[in-house]
Amino acid sequence: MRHLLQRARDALARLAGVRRHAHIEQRLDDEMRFHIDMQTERNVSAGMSPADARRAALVAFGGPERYREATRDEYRSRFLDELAQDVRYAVRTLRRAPGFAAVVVATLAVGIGATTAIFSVVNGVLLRPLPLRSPERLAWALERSGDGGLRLPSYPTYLDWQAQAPSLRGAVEGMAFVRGQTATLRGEAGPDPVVVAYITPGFFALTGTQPLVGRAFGGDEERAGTEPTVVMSYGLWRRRFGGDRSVIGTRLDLNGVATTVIGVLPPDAYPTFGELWQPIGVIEATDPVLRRRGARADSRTVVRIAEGADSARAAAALAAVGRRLAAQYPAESEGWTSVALTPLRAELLGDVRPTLLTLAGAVALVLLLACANVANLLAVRAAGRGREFAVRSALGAGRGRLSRQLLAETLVLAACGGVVGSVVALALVRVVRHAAGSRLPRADQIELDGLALLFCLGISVVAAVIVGVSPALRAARTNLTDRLRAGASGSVGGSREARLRSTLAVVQLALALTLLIGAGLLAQSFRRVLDVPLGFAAENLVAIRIQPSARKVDEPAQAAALFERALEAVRAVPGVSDAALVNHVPVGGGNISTPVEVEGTRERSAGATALYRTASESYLRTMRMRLARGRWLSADDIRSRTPVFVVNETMAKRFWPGQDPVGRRVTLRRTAPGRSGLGEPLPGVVIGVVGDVHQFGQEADVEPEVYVPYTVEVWTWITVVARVSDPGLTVPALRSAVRRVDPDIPLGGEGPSAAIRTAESMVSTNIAQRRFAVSLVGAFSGAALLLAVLGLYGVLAHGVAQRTREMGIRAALGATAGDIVRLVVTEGAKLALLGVGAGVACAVALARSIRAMLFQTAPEDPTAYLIMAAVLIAAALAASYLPARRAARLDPTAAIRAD
Amino acid sequence: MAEKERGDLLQGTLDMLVLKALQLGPMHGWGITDRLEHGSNRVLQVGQGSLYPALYRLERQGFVTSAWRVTENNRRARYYALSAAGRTRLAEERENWKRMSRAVELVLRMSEA
Repeated sequence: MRHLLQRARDALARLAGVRRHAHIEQRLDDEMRFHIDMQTERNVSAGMSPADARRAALVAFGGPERYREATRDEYRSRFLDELAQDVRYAVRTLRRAPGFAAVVVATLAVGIGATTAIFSVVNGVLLRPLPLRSPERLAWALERSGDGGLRLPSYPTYLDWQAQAPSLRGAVEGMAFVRGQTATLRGEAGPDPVVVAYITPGFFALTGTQPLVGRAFGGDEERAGTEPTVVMSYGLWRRRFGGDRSVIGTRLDLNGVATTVIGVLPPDAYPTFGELWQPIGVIEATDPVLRRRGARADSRTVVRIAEGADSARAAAALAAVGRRLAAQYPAESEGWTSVALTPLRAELLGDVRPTLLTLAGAVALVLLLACANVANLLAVRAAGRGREFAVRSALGAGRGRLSRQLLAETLVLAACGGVVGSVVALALVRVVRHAAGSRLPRADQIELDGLALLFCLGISVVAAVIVGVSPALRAARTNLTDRLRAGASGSVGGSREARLRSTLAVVQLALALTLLIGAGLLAQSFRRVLDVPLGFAAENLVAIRIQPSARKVDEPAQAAALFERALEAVRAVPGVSDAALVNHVPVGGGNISTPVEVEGTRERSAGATALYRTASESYLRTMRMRLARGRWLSADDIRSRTPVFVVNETMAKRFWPGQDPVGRRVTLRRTAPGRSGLGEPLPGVVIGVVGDVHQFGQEADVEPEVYVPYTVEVWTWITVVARVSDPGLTVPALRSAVRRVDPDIPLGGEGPSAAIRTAESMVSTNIAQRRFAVSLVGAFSGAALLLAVLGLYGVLAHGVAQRTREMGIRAALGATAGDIVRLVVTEGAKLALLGVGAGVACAVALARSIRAMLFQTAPEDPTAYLIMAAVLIAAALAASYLPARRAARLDPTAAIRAD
Repeated sequence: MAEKERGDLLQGTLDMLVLKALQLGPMHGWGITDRLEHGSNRVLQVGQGSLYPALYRLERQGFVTSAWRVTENNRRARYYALSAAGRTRLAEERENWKRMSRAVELVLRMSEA
């Protein structure tokens, strides 16, 4: 017992010694100097001259370096020295097996790299805190109708809710409203569209948004009026002003008004569509949408749920207000009696969650598989070195020392794998950041996550150590003579190790199949999405948003004339075969809906809506849509501004089931933002039915939709769609053609807010996330298949090498090459079938968790399972054939004599 | 050479002698060599190459403690002192030594007959 304590104290003192190195060196020097001085004095008092005395003292002391070295040995940590020795030895050993080392390092690098990259993405996008104060209590409010329809609360509705704040106490702490609108920012390079978020007073305080640079609006500024000021998004600041802090205090030409920049917000500030923030007072007097109850404005009503209350309670409190308003304003609010609250977090990150979680799951499987593979390789290697260890342990190497050496080897491999893996991870993160760009929220800020890297490295090392070191320890424990007698392969206890390795191979095959099936299900979903007909031809279709400055479109007739001129200018561009006008391009992201009253239905269907599209007579032709019934809008309808409507098939089915809608009368509402007639009834006749267009992309259901002559209510902006021969060549010509019509129309911008976009880019933006998931999971499953097949090959090849003599005897006894091939391949097939069984079971269990990612594909869809199981079995058989052929080619006499 | 007449210290005995020297009271390294040389009538010559390693070893093992102190001539020196464990250790070593030297003596006294 005392002995043990003594050793523990020794170890501690040594460890402390390591830290105190410099300190102790100093002490050594001081003691030596003192010693020599004392001896010199003694010599002087014995009658020597001072110089001789000193020399004699030095001689008596002996070489100071030798003495120092000897003393150092007493305090330096022996453990570290031995570890360094182990590492050197490990590096030497591994250099003698470069193939093994390379495969292990590559496997670890793939596993660690991919996992770290994906977890960095998940962390950067999903887990990193949002720049909001307690975002879990922030929600986005929508009005809900009796039959489940949803609409954005109008500004007057919001003001009424706000006025009822005292009655909401305890449920709702506060609320704010933000209206998003495109404005024109004029710079040196010409006018550009920017999205301005117009916010109600207290918006920043409610969300807890703090400016990164400069300041937010002061109390008076928020109520607007004084001098026009603006706060800028981080993205716009970096993009347009190069992140220069001196932008604070400069003036921007915003919609023709000199506006002072007072602050820059942090990345991801709410609402994320905002590029500039201004008090709502700036537009309150001029924006008619804000005055019209029940009118749809691009806006968000943000609610902060009171502390201690939950979403349901807040929604109930707001619904009570809603019921009062419905009674008070039946024309606009009847039926809209409840409120739906969506957590802001879900709005910001919502639809990427399934994608990222699927990827994280896939990559975790890859890491597991990589660990199994490395463990397998180490186990094979350790077993192969059984005799080496037995001999060394017989020669006196302690078990601790042997395992430490194996540990050192594993650590060297893991370190190399970690380094290469970090490089892989860095590259992958860069690829994801680039590829995901605007489609993944917060993608621009994904950084390689050090913690994830350490975690993955840790898991790999632990797995490697458990499996790689334990067989060696067993080897060292077994009796030396048994071990030596067992022959070159040294496989005592071999059946146990062989079983372990076979199990690992089966696990790998099962994991790979799970991933393959997942990838197959996703790929099938992707193909089914692509197969959904859009309802129009997106190829070579270009959309140009025409948004002239406000004074040029004040008069509807004047605006219509300007749009007509732009349309003609576009038509005249060489390469343009057809062109048309429309308010919102389908799949472009923008949409607006109108309440619908169908004549003849007794009570007005509360909350019945349809998407509202204003179009020109050439729209059907340009888009290559299909006319199902009746006729399309004619040039006469456009010129005479007759309220005739064309509906889509979904609307026809929903509002006139089993009947012909042509000739029916319906009443819509005027919907043009920025026009005074907004919200007024618009009665008219249905003249035709067109085929459905997937307005929100192939994955979303088609909504009822109604087409109205664009002249019936001329919007303050419009979109020209043009069918061209080659968008790449024609876009510059289109831009200059529109410039010639009106140089003030902003035609710049990037990504979804760009003024000129191709329909194909909009479609691919819609499916980009799916494409991203499919390609990554596909790549992962490919890597997984490769690893699993390598693992199976390793097990079989090792088995063949161990059974050389047995194979020789079989051959000598008359087994043909075919028999031996069959023997080995059967073993491979057995393992593969076990892997298929386990993999299918895993896949069935896990596929449910990616249900959100599947499109028209059941999680148990047999096609994916069958194809992928066949792929796995084929790969496994190929991997079995190589060692089988080697076994069959053995020379029987040489094989029997071997070792 | 004088070396021959001076006894080389048996391995392991140095630790015991250092502990013994410190039993007389705390002392610095040079003082310990002095004590040992005086005490042995200049027969035992302690090489510094082994004294300081021995001191560090004993300190690490907890038999000796050390601290900077000022000598009577006002110089800074590292003083070593015996710890309680060191005292016990010295007693043990002394017993061993006695046994060992008695045994050696017995062997040497063996007569031819």
